[in-house]
Amino acid sequence: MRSQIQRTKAVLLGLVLLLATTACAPPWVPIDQTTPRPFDMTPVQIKMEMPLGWMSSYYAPVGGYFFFTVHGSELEEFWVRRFPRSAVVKGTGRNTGGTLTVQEMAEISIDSRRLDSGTGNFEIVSNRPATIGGQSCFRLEYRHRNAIGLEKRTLEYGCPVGDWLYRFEFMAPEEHYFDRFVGDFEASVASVQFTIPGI
Amino acid sequence: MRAARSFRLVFLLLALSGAIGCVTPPLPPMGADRTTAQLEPDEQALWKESRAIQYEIESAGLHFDDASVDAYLAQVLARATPARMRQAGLEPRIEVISNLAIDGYSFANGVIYIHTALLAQMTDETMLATMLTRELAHVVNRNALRARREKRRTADTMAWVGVGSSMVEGGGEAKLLLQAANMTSAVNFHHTIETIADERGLEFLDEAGYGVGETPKLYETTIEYIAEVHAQGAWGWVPFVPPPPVLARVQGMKTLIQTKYPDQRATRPPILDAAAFQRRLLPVTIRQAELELAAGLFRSAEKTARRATESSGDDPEPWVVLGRALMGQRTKPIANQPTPSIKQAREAFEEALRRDRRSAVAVRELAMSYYRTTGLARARTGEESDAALAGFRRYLQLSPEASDRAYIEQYIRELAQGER
Repeated sequence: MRSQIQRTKAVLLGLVLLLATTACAPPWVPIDQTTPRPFDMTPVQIKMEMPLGWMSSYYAPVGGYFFFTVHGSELEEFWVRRFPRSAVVKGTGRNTGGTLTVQEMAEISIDSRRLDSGTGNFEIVSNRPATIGGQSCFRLEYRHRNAIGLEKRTLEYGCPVGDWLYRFEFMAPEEHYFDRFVGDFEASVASVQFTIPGI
Repeated sequence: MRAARSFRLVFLLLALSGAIGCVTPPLPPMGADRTTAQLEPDEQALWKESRAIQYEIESAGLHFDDASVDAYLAQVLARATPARMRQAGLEPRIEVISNLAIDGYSFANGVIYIHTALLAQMTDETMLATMLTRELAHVVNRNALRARREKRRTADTMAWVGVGSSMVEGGGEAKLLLQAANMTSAVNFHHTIETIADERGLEFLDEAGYGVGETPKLYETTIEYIAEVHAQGAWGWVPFVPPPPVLARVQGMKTLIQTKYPDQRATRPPILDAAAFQRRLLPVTIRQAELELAAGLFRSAEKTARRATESSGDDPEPWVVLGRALMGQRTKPIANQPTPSIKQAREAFEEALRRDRRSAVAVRELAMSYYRTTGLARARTGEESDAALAGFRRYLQLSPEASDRAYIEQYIRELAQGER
């Protein structure tokens, strides 16, 4: 009886230690030949092709979004997220609900980035409409410096689909990494299929 | 009996240690007998850190740069700087930071940061000089060093401080500015230190020849702005209560003016009168209105833009910003506030076009006001579609390389199809 309690305690302690040492980080899964195609992201109701050689991670406990990278988040960040259109976009005091045009949604996204004082020297490279998975979206490209002065470049697609605003975002240092991996990102986004019933 | 005596002793000891912990003795102020050549080792380190963070902030593009504004601010600062600072070898400098938080603070090395939010609220030069002299008082009194020594680095350093606060909602985390705040007068100084700085700041203001009597206006304007921003936020339905310490300081300042400056000697006129002051700061006012628009503070943006229109002359830009602020209020109505009509918004764009009929952005915004189906009307009339179509076509004529050309062409195709 006593040894069983001790065993339970040891297991609990082990679990706590495991969580503490991994900082609750989700497991990394390599995208390789065995990865199902298209990559099914059921929690966010989309399917898309993913580039071979990248690593994927799903942050379910902290918001239900997917993150992909090759060498780590400092060098390539590829995010797939969706937000309720009724949710206020950070810093802007506005949401993307109602009858906004996709251009107006893009402008809200720009405002949110511009107001984030952590992103200095913010500069729009391009802002134009796009079509992804048959949906009208915006395609936004911009440069900024991060908190340590590193020049970064971001390509962002935003798609209002039903009650959600989907955001596909690729961010990398302007030098070398952006151009090297943006093609993978573009190819993946071009393959997106929205699986929300009724759209 | 003995227990009661022990309790009193412990209480006294606690009170004494608390009092000692709260009020540390002041440092000898900078002046002819304490110059920059006599900085203490930790003071030198603080100066070095200050220069490093200032460089980072500048590199990160957070400065608002306008040659005319910078030159004028430098002029006012030169007038406000007391002789003892120059004797100490200090060379104060002022920089404007594009930021929605209504704030102003100084570094130990005499560099003063003022946010566009605070500068745009000022209506005359005396308000600016009030802020500057107060910050110079902090520099002379070496309060940043004092705060460093007290290790009063808290997470809420951007809370009620100096002449303003960062209670403005919206905006992201300003890591660099927060780092800056940790080594500047933005640290939450003890009430006594603030009061001493107020007193010395008034002395400097008086020496510089500015009228001391109106100085509480700066603080009152700040409180009004924060109340205005509060009313537009998610918690706008909660009545705004100004923090009692700030009200107490304003009251303390009024008392100080009444007792110390009952009949202030003749003041010299400011460098610029109020109207010229507004004209000179127009780029800052417009930038602030744009920041407010971005943050969805449409009521504030309207007020700021209206102020800009008063001094903008033939410049169409403030009228465009005003129109956008009015349109914004139509998409995000504020409780207990009247929603502007579409006519009012269009009048603002038309006013911009009266100043410059080739203003592409005014043409586009006017066209968008016909194209949008937000607000009460959910469908466009034939006349509205025609006006939108004509406006978009004219926009692309005026600005063939427009960055949003692809969107506009999409609208034109959609409207042209509807025409057929």
